[in-house]
Amino acid sequence: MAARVEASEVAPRGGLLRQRFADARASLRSAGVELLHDRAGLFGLVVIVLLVLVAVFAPLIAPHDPSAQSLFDRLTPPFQTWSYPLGTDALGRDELSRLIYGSRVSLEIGVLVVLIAGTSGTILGLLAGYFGGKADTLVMRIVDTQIAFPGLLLALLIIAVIGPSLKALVIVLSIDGWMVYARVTRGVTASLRKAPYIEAAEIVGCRSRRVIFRHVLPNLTSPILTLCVLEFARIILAEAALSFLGLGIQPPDVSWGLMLSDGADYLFSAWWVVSLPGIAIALVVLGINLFASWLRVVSDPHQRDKRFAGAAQVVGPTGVT
Amino acid sequence: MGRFALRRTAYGIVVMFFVTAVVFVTTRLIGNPANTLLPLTATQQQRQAFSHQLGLDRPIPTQFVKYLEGVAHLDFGNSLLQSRPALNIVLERLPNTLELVAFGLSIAILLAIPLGVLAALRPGSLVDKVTVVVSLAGLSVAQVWLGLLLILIFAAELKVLPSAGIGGLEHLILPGITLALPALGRLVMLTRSTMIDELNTQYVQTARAKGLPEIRVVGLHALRNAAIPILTLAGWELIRALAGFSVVVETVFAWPGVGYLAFQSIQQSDVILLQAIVIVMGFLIVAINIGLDLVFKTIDRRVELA
Repeated sequence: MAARVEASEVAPRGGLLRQRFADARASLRSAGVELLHDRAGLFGLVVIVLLVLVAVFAPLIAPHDPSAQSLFDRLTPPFQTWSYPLGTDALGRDELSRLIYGSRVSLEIGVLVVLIAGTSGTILGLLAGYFGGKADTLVMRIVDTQIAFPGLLLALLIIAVIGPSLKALVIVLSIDGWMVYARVTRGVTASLRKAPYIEAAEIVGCRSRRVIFRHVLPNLTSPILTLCVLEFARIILAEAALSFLGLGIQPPDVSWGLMLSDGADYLFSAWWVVSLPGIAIALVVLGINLFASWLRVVSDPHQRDKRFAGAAQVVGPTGVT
Repeated sequence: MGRFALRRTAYGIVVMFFVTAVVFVTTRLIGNPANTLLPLTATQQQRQAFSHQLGLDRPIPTQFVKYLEGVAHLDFGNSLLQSRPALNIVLERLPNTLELVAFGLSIAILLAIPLGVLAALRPGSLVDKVTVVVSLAGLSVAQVWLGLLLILIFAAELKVLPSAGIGGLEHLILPGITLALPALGRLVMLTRSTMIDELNTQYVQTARAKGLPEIRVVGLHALRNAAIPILTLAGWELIRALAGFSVVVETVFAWPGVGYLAFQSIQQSDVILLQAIVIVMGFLIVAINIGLDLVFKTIDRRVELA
C-alpha cells in the first residue's frame, strides 16, 4: 500500500492526482463487485444508507409531529388506520413519526462518539506505538487501568451527578470508548515500527509527522474503520440502555431508547409500543454488524487472501468481537 | 509465578486507588448533595448544617484523605436515605447479583462453545448458517427490549413464568436468558471464527494425517489452542455483566441485586450509596481481572503479562 504510494510520487504532480483518482475508482469498483457477492454485507449497507436518509430527511418523511398528542387516538394498534400506519402510543403520538425522528438521535450520538473517541484513541495509540518508551508506557497504563474500571457503572455515576442530556451521553460514551481504538492502533503501529519501509523513510530523513501520516496511517484504515462501525452499533445499544434507565435522552426529545422505556409502562396493554423501537434497534445493529464484517474482509488484504484461498471456508461474517 | 501474582495485586491496588479518586472527584467536585437532597425550601443555614454534617465544608484534599481512610477501613459512610452503612446495603444485595450473573453466563458459555465448534466444523452448512443467524440476532438486540419481549411472551401471554422479583428457579430463568443471549451471540461468533482458523493450521492437518480420531483432533488439539481468546472474551463478559448489563437486566425484572440498587440510588440521588456500589463492584472487577490473568498464565505459558 505504502510502497505503491511511494512509487507514484515520482510521477509529475498532475499525473499523480489522476493516478490517485484512478486507483480510488478501481478499488471502489472492486469493493462494489465484492458487495454484490456478499448479500449479508449488502443488507448491512442498505440498512445504514436507509438510516442516514431517514435521519436526514426526517421532517419531510414523517407524517406527523413526533410529539403531537391526540388523546382520542391513543393506543391505536398498528395497521388499523392510514393516518397512523404503525399505531400510536399512550399519548396518541404517531409511532412511525417517532421512529423516524428517533433515528436522528441514534445517528447523532453514534457519529459524535465515534468521532471523538476514535480520533483521540487513534492519536494516542499512534503516539504510543510510534515513539515507544515513556509515552507508550504512560498511554498503555491508562488504557489498562481504564479497561479494569467498572466503566458502565462509572458512566452511570457521572451522568447521575451532572444530570442526563445528549451532551452528557456523548461525553460519557466517548470516555468509555477511546481505549479500544488506542489499543488497536498502538498494536499495529508498534508492529510496523520495524518494517523496512518505515525505517527507510526515516533514514531518508522524513519527519515523524510525515512518517506517521503517510506511511503508518494508511495501514490503520482497515482495522480502525471496522472498529468505528462496530462501535457505532455498541453506542446505539448503550443509548437504548441509558435512556431506558432515565439517564439518556430526556422526554421532549425522541429516541429509540426513550420509546422502549415508554413502552415498558404499557407492556401488557399495547405490545407495539415497546416492540417497534426494539425491532428498529435490532435491525440497525444487525445491519451494522454485517456491514462491519464485510468491511473487514474486503479492506484487510490478509483476510481477503484467506477468503479467496479458503473459498467455502469463510462464508458469511467471520465473527464480531 | 508468585512474583507475578504479587505484581498484579500491587497493580490492582493502584487501579482501586484511581477508581476511588474518580468516584470521589465526580461526586464531590461536580455535585453537592446538599442541593440535590434537601427540599427547595431549605434555608441557607439548613444547607450549611447539612454540608457540615457530611464534612462537605472542609477543603477538598482533606475530604479526599478522609474518604480514602474510610474506604481503607471499609467505611463508605451512611446511605443518605436509609441512614445505615452503605456497605452493608451493597453486601446484602451482592449475592443476588452474583447468582444471576453466574446463572446467565453459565448458560452462555456452556452453550456457546459446543455451538461454535459445531458451526466451525462445517462452515457454510445448514447448522453453521442457523447458528450464525441466531448468534447475530442475539448480539444485535437491545437487552432492555429482549427482557421486555420475554416478559410479554412468557409472563403476559403464556403465563408460565413470573415477570419480576426473586424466588425459586422460575424467577431466575427470564433474567438469566436476557443476560445470557447477547453474550452467547458474541461467544459463539468468536468460538466459531477462532476454531475455523485453528482447524486450518498445519498441526491439525498433521494430527489428522496421523489418523487421530476427529474428536481428539478437535477437542484436544484445536480447542485447547482456541481456549485463550474464548476465555478472554468470557472474562470480559463476566466483567461487563457485573459492571453494567446487570443494571439494565435487574431493573427490567425488578431483581433485587446491586444493579437494581444502583438504579434506585440514582433515582433517589443517594450519592453515598452509589459511591459504595461503584467502589465495591470496582474491587470485585479488579479481583476477577487478577484471577483471570493468573489462570491464563497457568494454562498457557506463552502468555506474557506486564
